[in-house]
Amino acid sequence: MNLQSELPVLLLLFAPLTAAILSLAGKFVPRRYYITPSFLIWLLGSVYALYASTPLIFNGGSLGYSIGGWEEAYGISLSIDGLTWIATLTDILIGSAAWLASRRYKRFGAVFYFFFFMALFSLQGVLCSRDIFNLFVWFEVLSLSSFLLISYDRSLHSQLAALRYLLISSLSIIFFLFGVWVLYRLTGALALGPIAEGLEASNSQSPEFSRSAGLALALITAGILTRAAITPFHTWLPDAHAAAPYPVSALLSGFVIKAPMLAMWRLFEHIQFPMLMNGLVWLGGVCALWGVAAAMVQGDAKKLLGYHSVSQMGYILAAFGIGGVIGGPAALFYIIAHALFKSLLFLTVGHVTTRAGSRNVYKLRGLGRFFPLYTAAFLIAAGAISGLPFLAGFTGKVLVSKALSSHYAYYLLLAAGVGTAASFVKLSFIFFGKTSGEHIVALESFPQDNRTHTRARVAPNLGLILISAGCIAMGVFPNQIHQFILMLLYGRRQFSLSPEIGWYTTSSLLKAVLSIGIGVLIAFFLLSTHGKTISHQVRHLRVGLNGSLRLLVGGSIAVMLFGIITY
Amino acid sequence: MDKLLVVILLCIGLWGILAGRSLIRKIIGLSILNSSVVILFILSGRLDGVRAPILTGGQSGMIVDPIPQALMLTAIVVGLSVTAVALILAVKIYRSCGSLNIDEIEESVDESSE
Amino acid sequence: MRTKTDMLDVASRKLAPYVLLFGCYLISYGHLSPGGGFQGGVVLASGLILPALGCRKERRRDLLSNMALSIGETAGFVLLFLIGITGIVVSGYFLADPFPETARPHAWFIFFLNLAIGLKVGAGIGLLSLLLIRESLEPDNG
Repeated sequence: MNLQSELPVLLLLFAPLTAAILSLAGKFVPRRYYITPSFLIWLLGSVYALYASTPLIFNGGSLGYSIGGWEEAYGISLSIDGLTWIATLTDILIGSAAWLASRRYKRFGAVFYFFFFMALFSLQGVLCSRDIFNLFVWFEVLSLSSFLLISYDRSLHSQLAALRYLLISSLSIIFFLFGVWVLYRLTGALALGPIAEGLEASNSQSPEFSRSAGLALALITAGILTRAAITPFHTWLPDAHAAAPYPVSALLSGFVIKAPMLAMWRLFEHIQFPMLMNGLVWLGGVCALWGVAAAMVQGDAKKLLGYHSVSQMGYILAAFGIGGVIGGPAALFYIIAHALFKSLLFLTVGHVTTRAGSRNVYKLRGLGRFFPLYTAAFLIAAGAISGLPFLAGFTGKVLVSKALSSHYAYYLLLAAGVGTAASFVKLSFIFFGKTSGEHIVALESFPQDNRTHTRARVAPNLGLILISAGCIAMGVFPNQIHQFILMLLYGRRQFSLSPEIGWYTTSSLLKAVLSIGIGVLIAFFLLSTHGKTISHQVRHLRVGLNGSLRLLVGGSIAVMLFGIITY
Repeated sequence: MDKLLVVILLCIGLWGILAGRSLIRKIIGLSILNSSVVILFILSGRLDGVRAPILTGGQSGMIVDPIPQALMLTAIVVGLSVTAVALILAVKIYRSCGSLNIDEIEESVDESSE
Repeated sequence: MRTKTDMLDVASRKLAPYVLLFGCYLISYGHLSPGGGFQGGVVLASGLILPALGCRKERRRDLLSNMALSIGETAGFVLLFLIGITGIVVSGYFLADPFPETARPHAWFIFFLNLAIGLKVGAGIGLLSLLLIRESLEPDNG
């Protein structure tokens, strides 16, 4: 047992756990003893763990830890490698920004922070785990924490949203467990490495074997895709992220829906299933388009952002499906970019809509006068997601289009890009124009729930500035970041094999300008009376709880049959 | 025969969760689905041996597979916690809304938001 | 059923200790027979639910206190965490066996783990169920 090499993994997991326990003690002690100390324990512990693991990670290695000292085939192993390293870094940034934003409000007490840090703890677990049943446990702890965080403000809407998320995710995890059962019967192992070896070794044995293996992988994928909010399993996300308090929405949309995607990356790292990957590319394209189409007609600002999360996850899924040296890093680059600009969007829009007392996109106007810093941050984030040059989303989309360059699903993503620009132009109108009377009344009165001293008012802005800087950095220095990602994923020796990426070529700039231009036109149409009527009618086509569950089962059966046939 | 039991429980659970008009019916359906998965794992482990997985005196002989039992212990606990949270949410929704019927709840959510 | 009869009240209160005893048996013999921490803990919780459902309203507050269960639950959690940390300190793995090889009887470590888990689960589920029962039988605001 080598404590030196195992300390980072332990620290990465124990830091948020200790922070959570400290917050639990906060039920009995006054506020100041536990709030900042728990945050600092988490932040400093995680940062130190990342720092301590840099020498090994940057050379392409990984740090492992197995619980109880059992070897990999018998025990549960956790490890940090390049992917975990950079995902944890993003997670720390998003988590800190969300925590800083939540500090503004008095109503978030010990219980809130307990579940907040438990969510971060289980996120770390998902990122570090190398065992499929262990993954199930971390997913469930993550979703339990999310249910309680989402329903924290006890309104009917948030409780229904949390219950809906609960039913959908629990149903999907049952399918996941069936898949785990089949894999266990086939390979006798639960750790990801031995599972891959087991599937490889017996690959040509019998058609029954490959049918079962295809079934198992398809079921597991369906379970994971539900957590990652991919069509047709996405129906829980818009309500859940709209009804949650906005720091929670930032954390959820920013990182929690990406962790399942990274888990799927781990699962398919050594398993070959090309037909499923191709299917995922198409599914990603459809998801991107569907999400954007639903987002364009929304009237609730946070629900609009939620549908955009669904759509952007489609981009990530499509790039992941392509895989390889181009697709994998593209997906990871987009994951980081999206984490940054989506959390920024939720933090800005969430704050201004909470202060103005309304989330109605058609009625809110002129908030830019009251919140200059938030408007600037919003514009950076909205520009990023629409693909404005020199910001994170533009470079992300360049990478993704490079990955999908010869695939037909690319056109779906292109169309989705136009729609994204459209709905963000529509959303940005809430910051310009003339504010209506009722909103002015809400904005001028000082909210009771806010904490008044300077530190509580300034701290959230710090998070915003950091993330905005990140968005700009990813747009201005994409090559360095891309090379960094390649180095983390593949080690120093191999990254020079990747082809040159033309970031700011005429064609990419032209595409961006065209998409944004057409988007602006569509936005004006959406805001016209005719557009509003159409939007109203489309909105009423949404599915209720029963409908979403049936979609989930239908979609899972479809994925299952696909897996059986094509493995 | 074991597989038949699991399939029957699966169908009952799915029917409960998909066709239920009331929230409680959905939660019970979910609980039954959890039980079906647990039974699947445990019964499949049973086929491998004849004795309980306890080491006595250093000899083992033919024992059942202990891994599914350990896995399912975790799965039962998780399922229990999820059911508990679901019931609490259902109680709160009933308080705010006066009904457990999913259609009525969704109508009142629509009225209050639009 | 609007009122609790005397018979129900007496029967549930007299039977509860035996259920609790059975729960303790399951916890302590978990390493030898079917049972263990979680199973015994759930039976302990049911031993708490039985009198809560059967006894009369006046007695309910005296019989079962929320604060005691809350402390029990936290204590179980912290105990489990400390046992895990002790494992790390002694041999570097979470939940490793801290007892030296030669000095211990066969399964002390499993026994202690079962006790901690049983305490945590029993108190936790008992508290949860009691709160839900109180909600439904005496609905109050909030």
